Amino acid sequence: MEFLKTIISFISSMLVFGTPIILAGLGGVMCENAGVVNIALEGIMRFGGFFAVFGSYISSRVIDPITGTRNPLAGNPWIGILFAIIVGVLAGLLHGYISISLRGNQIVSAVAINVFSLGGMTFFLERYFNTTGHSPSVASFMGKPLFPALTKIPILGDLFKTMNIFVWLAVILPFVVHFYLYHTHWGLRHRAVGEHPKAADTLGVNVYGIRYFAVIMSGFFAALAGASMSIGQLDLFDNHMPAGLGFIALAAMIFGKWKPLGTFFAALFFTLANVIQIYIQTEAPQILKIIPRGFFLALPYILTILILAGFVGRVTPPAADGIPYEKGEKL
Amino acid sequence: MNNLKLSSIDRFINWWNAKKEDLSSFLVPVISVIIAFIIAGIMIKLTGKSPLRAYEILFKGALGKDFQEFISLRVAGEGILKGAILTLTGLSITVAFKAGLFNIGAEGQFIIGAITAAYFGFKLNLPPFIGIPLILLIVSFVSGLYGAFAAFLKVKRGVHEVITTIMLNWIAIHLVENWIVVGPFNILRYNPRAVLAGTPYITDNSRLKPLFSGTRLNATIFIAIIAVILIYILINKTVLGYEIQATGLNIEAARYAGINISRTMIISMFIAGALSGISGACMILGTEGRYPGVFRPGYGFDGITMALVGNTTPVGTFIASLFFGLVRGGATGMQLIGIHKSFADIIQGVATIFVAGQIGIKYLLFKIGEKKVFRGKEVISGVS
Repeated sequence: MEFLKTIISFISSMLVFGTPIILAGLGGVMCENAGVVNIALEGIMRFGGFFAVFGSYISSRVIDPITGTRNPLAGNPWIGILFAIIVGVLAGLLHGYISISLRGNQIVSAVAINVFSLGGMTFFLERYFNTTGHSPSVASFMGKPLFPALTKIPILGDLFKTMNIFVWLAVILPFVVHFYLYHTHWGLRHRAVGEHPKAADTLGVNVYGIRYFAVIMSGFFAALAGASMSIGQLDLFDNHMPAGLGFIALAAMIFGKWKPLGTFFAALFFTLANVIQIYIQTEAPQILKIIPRGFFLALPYILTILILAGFVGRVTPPAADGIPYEKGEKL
Repeated sequence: MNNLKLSSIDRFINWWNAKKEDLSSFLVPVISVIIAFIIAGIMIKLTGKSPLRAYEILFKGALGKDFQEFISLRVAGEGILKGAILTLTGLSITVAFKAGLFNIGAEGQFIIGAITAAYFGFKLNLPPFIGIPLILLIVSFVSGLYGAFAAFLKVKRGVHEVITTIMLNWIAIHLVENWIVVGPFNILRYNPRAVLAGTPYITDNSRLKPLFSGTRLNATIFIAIIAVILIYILINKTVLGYEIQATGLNIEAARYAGINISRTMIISMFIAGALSGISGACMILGTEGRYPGVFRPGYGFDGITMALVGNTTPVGTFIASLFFGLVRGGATGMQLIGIHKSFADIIQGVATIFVAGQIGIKYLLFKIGEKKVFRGKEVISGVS
């Protein structure tokens, strides 16, 4: 019984901590399978995180007009999700415009978005919340299971207690993306654009259209990932919230061989290192004296390098990944 | 006879058309920066503050209130110091870029350099003229290896350097900040009553002292200038520089010409890592005096902007770094009227976005010329 409970709490922690990584990782999967690299996931997460809080915050004014006072906790977090998605899509479009239409350098564009997100969100925090630290608390999905009825199930119910809307999305969306990429015509075209845009173009596939769709979806997923941290795990936004998870998501995507389900399991595997570290910290702190905490935190990145270096298994990105496509270009 | 009919505008257009290829490499960054300032100005306006007043404060905060203060470097010194540190990471990205490599790992190399400098700055107590160069040499070697590792994996295993360098950034951050600084090299081991987080202070002999009283500006600026000159000579005047450039321009052609691509890439990433490492070392030896608990000033990532806005040339990188260094210095003063210093990040981010999409700016620049040149030709052909 006790053992089962521990297992359940482990799985539950992995899902909760893994949610932002899974969602952002899916953003990477969408983008890179169409041949566009997006290392701006981190920056877009920051956008999503802020605007989710912002949406939830300003909706409190709409809902509570009688008293005239603004009670941020009366806001509607769904508006927050909506705001995050809109901004994420716009950020994706910007990255797409530079890397697809202008055929600019995708890495530079993404780095610029990351730099801008840090300055820009500090700016907005100051503009709207008069602080550079973190926003006030807003209405959120924190600790609100999507299906409260399920939490009444004995033992297994514990798992559903922590599963808010974002965690459910993180569990379901990998399968949706998998179905889209591998079992639909559009998915076939999507992958063809990433593998061989010229051939796809010859067959009448709209290369630019699909690439734009892919970057927009990556913005959508990354923004959801950001929202899952600010109004999912917590009820406020802090500029240092993404803390490299956008890059872990990239690592998970590579570890998962650019596949949605692979990314899902890789993300869970990566969070395992973190969950174990937290577990050890509370249950057996003396172990951290032998294996330092920093090692657990660095482990996902070390693993990624080992995998990429071919010690564990070869991975190949989509062939046209990161290469701008120009119509009529010679091969 | 015909030429007399050309108006001065048409003459300008003809001159423009002859020179626009060369000039655009200089104009694109300048226009990007101007656009960035305009967009940031609009954002200030949106917050209900006056952009002109803000820029006035920025300007004075960067250079000084009057000529006297500007000359004394009491105000500008801070910006120049930031610029010097940015120059080093900017050069790091520039060197790698010349060999066709994207060094996103300057941040990690910076951190490795910083912790190495903090350690040897604490351990070594030699006369400054021997000790400091020795520390910089050790730092160059350690950070250089950290940088070269990414190139090694690319050459031997075909792993893209962008991914490896990003991963190496986070490995450096976590191992240094969550292990070394809190564990084996923590100040508490040497001074149990310390209240600060981080490593112990470096010896007085290891410190880069301020050049003038009342400013923090130190020898980092000379280190940066020397680096700019050395890298300029390396790239433009040496065989290795030629090989680096050839590899960056066309890897297959370079291989065919008998250049050892692997060696060239590893060496250029070693140099890139060394430069970022020295940048981090200068931060420790000059301003910080030790590795603080959390130390992520972001100079590694900023270096990417410096290299790009500087058109990936050593001198351009230096100019861009000084400019953004001064902007960063001045932005601190803007907090007085309630504009956060992260404002500098906004300008930098927007400028980078426009440099990234530079084909757009180039297209517009060239189009202006194209339309007019047609008229210019008409004038000539119309007479003959």
